Amino acid sequence: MKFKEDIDALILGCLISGPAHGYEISKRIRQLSNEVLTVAEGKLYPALHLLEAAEDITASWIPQGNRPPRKVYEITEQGKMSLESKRRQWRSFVEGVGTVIGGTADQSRCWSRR
Amino acid sequence: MTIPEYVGDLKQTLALTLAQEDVEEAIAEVQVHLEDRRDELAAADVAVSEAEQRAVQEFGALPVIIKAFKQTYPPKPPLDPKKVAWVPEAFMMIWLGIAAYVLTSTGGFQGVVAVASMAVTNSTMLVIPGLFGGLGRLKYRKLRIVKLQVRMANYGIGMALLGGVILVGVTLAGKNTLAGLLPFHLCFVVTSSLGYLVMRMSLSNGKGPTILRGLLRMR
Repeated sequence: MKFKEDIDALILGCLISGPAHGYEISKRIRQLSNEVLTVAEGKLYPALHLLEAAEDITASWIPQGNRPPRKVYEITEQGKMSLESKRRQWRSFVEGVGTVIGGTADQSRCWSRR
Repeated sequence: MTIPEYVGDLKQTLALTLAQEDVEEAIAEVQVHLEDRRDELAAADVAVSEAEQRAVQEFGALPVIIKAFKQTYPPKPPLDPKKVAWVPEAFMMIWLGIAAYVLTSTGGFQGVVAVASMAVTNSTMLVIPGLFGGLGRLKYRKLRIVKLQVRMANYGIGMALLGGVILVGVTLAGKNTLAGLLPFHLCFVVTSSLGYLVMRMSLSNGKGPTILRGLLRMR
C-alpha cells in the first residue's frame, strides 16, 4: 500500500533545520526518512517555486567561487506556521488511517489480542 | 542522455512557453543539481558517464518535468514590453487629438461636456490591460505587471476621475443637457476605479491581495 507524500510539508520540514539548496533538500529528505522517501527530484523545483511564491520560504542566490551560484532556500515565519498546520493535518491523517488499519498503539494492542 | 543534452532539451522546450528569466533561473538550478548528483555518484566510484546517466534518470523523465514546470511557472508574456512601450502615449495622443476635434467642433460648454463624457467612457479600456495583469499576478505572484500596463491604467483612472468630476460639477450646476447620462457615466467611473484598485492591490503583498486570492480561489 502506498500513501502519497506531501512534498510541500517535506520541504518545509527539511528547511526547519536550516537553509539549504535544492539538492541538499532532496538529500535531507532521503537521509531523514532513512531512504524511505525519495522525492521525484524534478518535481522538487516547481514545488520550491510555489512555496516561494506563497512566501512560505525565501530564496537567495549565493556565489560559489568557481562554480555557478546556488539558490539557497530558507523557511519564513509564515512557512513555520504552514508547517505546523501540515503537522496537525498529518497527525489527524495518521490517526484516521491507523484507526482503520490498526496502526495506532491502541489499535495494535486490539489487533494482537485477536 | 548526458547532463548537457538533458539540460539543453529542457531549456529549449521551456523557452517556448515560459519567460526567459524564469527559464534561466530554473535551468541554472537544475544544472547545479544534476552536477552535484553526478559528483556524488562519481565520488562513490561510479564511472562519470554512468553517474551522469543516473543523475538524469533520477531527476525524472523530460515530459514529466516539463509538465511540472509549465504548471508552476507563469506563462510567457505574449509581447515584449520594451517593444510596445510607446503604446500608452500613442493612445493618449490619438485620444487628445479626437478630444480637441470634438471640443472645437462642438464648441464651448457643450464641447467640454462631450469631452468629459468621452473621457469617462474610454477610460475603462485603458484600465483593462492593468486589470488583467493584476488578476494574473494574483495567480502567479512572480508575474510582473509591466510598466506599460500601469501607465495605461494611470491614464485611464486619471481620465475617468477628471471626466467624472466635470460631469458631476456640470450636473450640480444644473447646466447639463446630458444630465440623463450621468448614472451611465458613473458606472464607467466605478468600473474603472475597481479595475484600478485590483491592479494596485495585486502589486502589494498586504491583506487585500490575500483576501482577493481567497475570493478567487487562487493560491
